[in-house]
Amino acid sequence: MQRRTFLKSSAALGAASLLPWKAIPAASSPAEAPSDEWLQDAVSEARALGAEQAEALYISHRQQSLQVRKDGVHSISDSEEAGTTLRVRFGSFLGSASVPDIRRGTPAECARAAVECAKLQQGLQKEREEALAMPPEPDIKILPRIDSVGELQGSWRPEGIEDPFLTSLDERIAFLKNLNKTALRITQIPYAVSNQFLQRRSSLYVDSRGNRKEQLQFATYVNFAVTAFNQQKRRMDTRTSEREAQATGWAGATANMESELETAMQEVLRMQQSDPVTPDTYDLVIHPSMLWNLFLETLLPHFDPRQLTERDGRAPGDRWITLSKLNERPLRSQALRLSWDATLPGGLATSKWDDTGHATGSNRLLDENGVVHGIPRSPDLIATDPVYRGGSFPGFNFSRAAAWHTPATVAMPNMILEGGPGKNLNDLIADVDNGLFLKGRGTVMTNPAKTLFRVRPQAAWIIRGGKIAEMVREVEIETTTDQFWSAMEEAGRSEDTFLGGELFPQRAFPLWDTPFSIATPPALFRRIPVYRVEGQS
Amino acid sequence: MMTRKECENLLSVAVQYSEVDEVFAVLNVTDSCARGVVGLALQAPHRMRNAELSVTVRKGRRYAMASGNVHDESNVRELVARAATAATQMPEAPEAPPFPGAVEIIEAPIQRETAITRALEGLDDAIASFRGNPTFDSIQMYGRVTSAKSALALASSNGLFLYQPSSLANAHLRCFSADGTSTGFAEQYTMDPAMLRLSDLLSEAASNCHEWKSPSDIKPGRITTVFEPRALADMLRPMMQQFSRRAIEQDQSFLRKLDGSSFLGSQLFLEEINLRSDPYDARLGSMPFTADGQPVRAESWITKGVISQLITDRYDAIKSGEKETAPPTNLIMDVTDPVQDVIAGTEYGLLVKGFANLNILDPKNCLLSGSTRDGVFLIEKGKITKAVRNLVIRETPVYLFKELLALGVPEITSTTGSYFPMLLPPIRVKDVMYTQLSGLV
Repeated sequence: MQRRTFLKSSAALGAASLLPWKAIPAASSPAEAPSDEWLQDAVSEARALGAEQAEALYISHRQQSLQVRKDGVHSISDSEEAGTTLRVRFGSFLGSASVPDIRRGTPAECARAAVECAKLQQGLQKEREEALAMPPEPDIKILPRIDSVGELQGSWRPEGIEDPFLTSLDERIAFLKNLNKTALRITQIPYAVSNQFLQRRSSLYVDSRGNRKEQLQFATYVNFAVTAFNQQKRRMDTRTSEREAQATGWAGATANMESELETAMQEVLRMQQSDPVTPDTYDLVIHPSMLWNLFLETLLPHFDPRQLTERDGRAPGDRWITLSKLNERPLRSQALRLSWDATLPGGLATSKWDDTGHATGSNRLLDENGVVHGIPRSPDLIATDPVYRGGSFPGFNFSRAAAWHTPATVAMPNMILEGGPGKNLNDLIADVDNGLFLKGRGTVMTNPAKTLFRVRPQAAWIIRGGKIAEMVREVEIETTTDQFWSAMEEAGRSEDTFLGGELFPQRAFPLWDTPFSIATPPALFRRIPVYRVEGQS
Repeated sequence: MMTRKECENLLSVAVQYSEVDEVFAVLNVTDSCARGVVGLALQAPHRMRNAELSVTVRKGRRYAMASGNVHDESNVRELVARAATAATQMPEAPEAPPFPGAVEIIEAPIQRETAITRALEGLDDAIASFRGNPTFDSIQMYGRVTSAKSALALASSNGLFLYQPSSLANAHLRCFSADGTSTGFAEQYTMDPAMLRLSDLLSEAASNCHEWKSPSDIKPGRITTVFEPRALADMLRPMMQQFSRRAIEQDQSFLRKLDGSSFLGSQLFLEEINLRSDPYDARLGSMPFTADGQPVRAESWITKGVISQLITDRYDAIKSGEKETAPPTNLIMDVTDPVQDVIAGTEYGLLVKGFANLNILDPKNCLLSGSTRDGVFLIEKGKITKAVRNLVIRETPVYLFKELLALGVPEITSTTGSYFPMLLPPIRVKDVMYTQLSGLV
């Protein structure tokens, strides 16, 4: 059987399982994908031009954001982009070319562009190897083989999730306006803002080993902020929703949001009446709605492979953990256990395959003894930089393309701060005599090296004798990343895990440009210095 | 690359949409290639073509925008319809001036025919020979080489159509010494990819890193300073933004008088200061129109120290009846009697080559603050004597042009990290304010 014929028949079979995707109404349909034949031809043309392997990834990405301030729409932005990236491999050298949906050109043109890119380095590389007596390139077997990815053909979309774009714009605006209206009924709450971000990503991966993987992913993020103002005390306090972006539809993202709004309104009004915290050293019980973000901003950057390998473009000596220091076990808390999971339900980085056709999975990243078991890496890093090869780098493959026009490269999968033996939030609070209970995504400020940070939680309560007492305001924690995470004594049970997520990670972390989720339980930290933010109001 | 005709055909579909009052469409076409340098390892080269369309519609006094790259004819209609639907939900704007109409602008000669991949061809060799140079042993180099051919096409339902092809190659490189205590930087922009001097740039960055090794502390305060052209460019760009009538009206400009009027026609600077722009200057290729369809013309902004022109956007021009004047896309400082060596005439002072994180502290007097970076040296008796640690500058370019001591020979330069071509001299300025050591490497 001719390869193309085989793929055509497989595609026809696969189409049956994709009916819901195809059934999306024309008004919000994904861009018309290039035919399988176009992608196959591009791959075949690249092979004919001498490439040992070739892979084509088509991505269509639609996103829409919407903001409602008080009772009116403030902004709507809408974009849809689609195109294909073809990557070729000659030995350990890669080259790639991206073409947009419009003026896609012929598969042969795309293949020639990718091959031309690869050859920009290949000929010169050979000469250089001889001239500089460089050590030979590594055995190609250490590169992940495309033929080791399990099933060759398939399609995937998250189960039971409806495309959020199927909910009409009018309906979504009405929902957000209603949230604001509810909040603004209270005289002391003069400001209310609500936002919505929707994303849909459809992709089709085809390679020279016969893989054909079709996937559809959604992300929906609905949030609000309510601000209370006390004219007499000249105090202004804001509370935002705790729900974060998730791979879900409109219904999932907005379920029970009204009751969450009620809680936020009550809390922000109570905050207005609260007294400032007394600066001291406290035991802290941190709600996962705050903890996931602290983890994201302060600890996770140290597990970025480019930082660990000192390939992040920063000055040497400006990093806390490096590959060479991993054995020193810099994290001293036995309660701190981390896993990665690219199959986590609702996770923004969840998919069946990554963007190089490899089946996704999950595993331990850091155990209770501080041993690092695996850090994400990708075939392109392995191919271009010797530091990612071999046993000294405890890696696993996870690649994603940030956009249709960028080749897939290492990406952060969903991360999990693992739960403890079975204490719920109240049990953790009961273990504290004199402490604080902190909640809500706070403002985190860090130094460039992410070794020092300052955070202001949205809401804080005193814990006295194992029970939550009065609310306090103007709370600020300032400490080192090392001291803070080493002070983590216990994680709450896994059942209380909260799924946070970064839909736009590139805003804070230029090296991470694809969304991912972070699941955290509540946790108990001992003896953390707490300050009062002077003049916060 | 899409031709003028192809762009016109595609945009005409967008602007002919009849369900709204007006349509303005921008098509940005690019063909680019890029390759990164990461700690002296070379990333795989990547080529990218794109054609991105963004459409703004007006329905009564409501505006909305949609963008995408998915546009055969039917997709273009869908994109405009999407913007039209969004417009019905938007609040009414206080003003609703019409989108621009037909205007004739001559294409600027800012495209070269050289293949874009030419920019990357020498990179392997340049890195290999750099690695082989023992002087640069243990230097960590990071950066990126990019080369692109682009076309910007604009159209409106009022008859506007503009098209400008261009090409630009760029290399920017930053390196660190092995102990992380010293850094060096080099950057080049050129319209012709064949003109990128990759080997020279690698050596320049590494040499800068070597020269700035073991910097000494000096006491901050008012210090006479020689600014290299790139450092001056970084300070002038925010200053030029304040030439806007709108900024003056909103009290966000040093050009606003106490009575609310502008300093147009007033002598604010020394007579030696002349600043003009010309998009057709062959040395400083730049766009002859803005992305919102405003023609960029040759203008004189400061003539013999006198403020001689202000930026007037289309909305302000309609409102005030003044002539529309686009912001400059390049800058030229003419020097009639340049000093050949600005450093030689400096008894005691600093040489500043660039800045990091330069921000406007107070727009009312264009007060800037940021750290010096990529080379700060002490000048004693007309000679560079030692490297000094980076300092926080707190100064306004207005002061620079008032307290100028010497102007050197103009050189082609650009702002750091983005292409804004300028022909500027090195300058020596009396008593520039430095508030503290910045601690930045």
